[in-house]
Amino acid sequence: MAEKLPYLIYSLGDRALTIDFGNRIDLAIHEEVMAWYHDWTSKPIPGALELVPAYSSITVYYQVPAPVTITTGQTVFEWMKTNIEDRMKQGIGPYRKERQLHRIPVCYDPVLVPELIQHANSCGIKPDKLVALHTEKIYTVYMLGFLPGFPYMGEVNEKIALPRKTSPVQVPAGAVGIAGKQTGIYPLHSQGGWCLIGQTPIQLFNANLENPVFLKAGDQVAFYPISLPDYRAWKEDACK
Amino acid sequence: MSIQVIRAGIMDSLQDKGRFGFQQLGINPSGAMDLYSMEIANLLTGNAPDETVIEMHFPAPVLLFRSTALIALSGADFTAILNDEPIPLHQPVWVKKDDVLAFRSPRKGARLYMSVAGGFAIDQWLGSGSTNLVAAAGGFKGRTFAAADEIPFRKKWNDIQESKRVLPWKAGLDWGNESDKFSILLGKEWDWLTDSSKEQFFNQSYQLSTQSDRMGYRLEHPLLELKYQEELISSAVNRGTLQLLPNGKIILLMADHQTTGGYPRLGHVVSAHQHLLAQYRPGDSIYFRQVNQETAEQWIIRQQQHLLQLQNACTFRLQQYFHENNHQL
Repeated sequence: MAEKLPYLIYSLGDRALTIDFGNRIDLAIHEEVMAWYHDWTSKPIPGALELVPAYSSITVYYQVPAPVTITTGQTVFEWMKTNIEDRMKQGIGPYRKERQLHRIPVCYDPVLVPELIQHANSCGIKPDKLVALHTEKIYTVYMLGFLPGFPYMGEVNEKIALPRKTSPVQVPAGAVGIAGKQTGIYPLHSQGGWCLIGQTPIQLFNANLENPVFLKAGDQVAFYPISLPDYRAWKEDACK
Repeated sequence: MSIQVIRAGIMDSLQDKGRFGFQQLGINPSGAMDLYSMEIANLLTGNAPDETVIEMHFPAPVLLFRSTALIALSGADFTAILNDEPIPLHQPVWVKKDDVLAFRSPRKGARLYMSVAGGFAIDQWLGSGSTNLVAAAGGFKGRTFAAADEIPFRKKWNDIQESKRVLPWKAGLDWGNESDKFSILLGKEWDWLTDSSKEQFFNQSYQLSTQSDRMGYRLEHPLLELKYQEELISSAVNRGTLQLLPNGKIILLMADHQTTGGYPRLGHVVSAHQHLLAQYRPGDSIYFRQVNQETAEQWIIRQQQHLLQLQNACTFRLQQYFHENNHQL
């Protein structure tokens, strides 16, 4: 059973509400978020249409009108809020923590990602050291957002916490980046403002698959370095 | 049975009510910008309310029908012309093989919807016919229309003999808002605004900038200031959310919005007004006013009831018409 953390429920318009456990990136908070997410996915809250877990919150999109007749004078928001509070008072039943560990290959060659050198310089370390620091930790996927399948992961070693770029640039699919203490992978070619340090040959999003998104909130990720020839061979294999 | 795109318009795409249940994967819902007009177009041709339709902007496409179809237009008025004859909005219209549908000038609104009785013959992606342009999936090949595309539809009709192309009934509209004032519910970070910005907020007008599209409307207005600031950790956002960007201006999230965001949320345009917002064009101005949760919910319910009544009326008229004319619906 998860530890009970203080929370706040607020309206996100007329058909959604958010349960906020504190505006922080914190593994313990995120575990609580995922515990409730799994609980409400396996035993749905009446009227809830969709749940979106994030770093320290869960958003519930719900239907209006409510699926049952509710007390006169009570809004659907209040009804949903009360139901959720009741569920949270009851606590979470036993559940299996889904903590799949993915090992993801990344090519950190400056030929592929020239800006790596500049980022290492601004951290005051050699590129090799930046790579070592990025690959030494196991990261948690806190949430997906921004693009289909974009994982927000953390937290990177403070020594390689890089600021966002002041204006976004074109970023290729598979680019691995850092923003503050977060690290992420661009699943699609897109505009992006994260500092790029590597490139993975793994496809994080494929609309043709039954499960189009590779990583899920709550998953764990470890990066390992591959050479440029290995990266190219991998990409070629994927094309076949 | 298909419709050939002779000339593509700007951002013609297939859309339905949107793709829900996948936002936790970062897959944005898409869907028609004006859900109300999308639904009316469907009801007029006897479709389910959430059948996939074509969403058009101006310049709109030129479309050639390869076979007979029953269509309906709703939403913006782009002066629809069927083989040089004007056809109305909000009425079912017969089109025959080799008919050409074109649009002359944008009279009113920004987005026009066309339904085809029986719907389009496309594969759904994750339970929806909507085009997701970011993921390049759903709708017609995951993209907007291009010249020479053949958009297939399902229903095959025997040749029709009707001399009157336009069926003699019209959907009654309940727009629900006759002014430029859009009702909002206050957002979580509303109180971060300075007192003077709070006052200013409901008095000033907001002009849709040229950087306004299906993802969101960027608004031009005297800057709003925060008295309090804290870095927000990203969390889920919603269609209609008013986010305050660091430059003091608002971005209003629309159908193709990203699933998460980390900017202060000043408010949320109520669901019942979102379809009207979709008919505003860059350069148009809007105002905001505040409502409470209860009113916003009542408006949703009233709108749903109106659409249900319309569905019943349309079904009745169509059945009667087909019975009298020995057609099978």
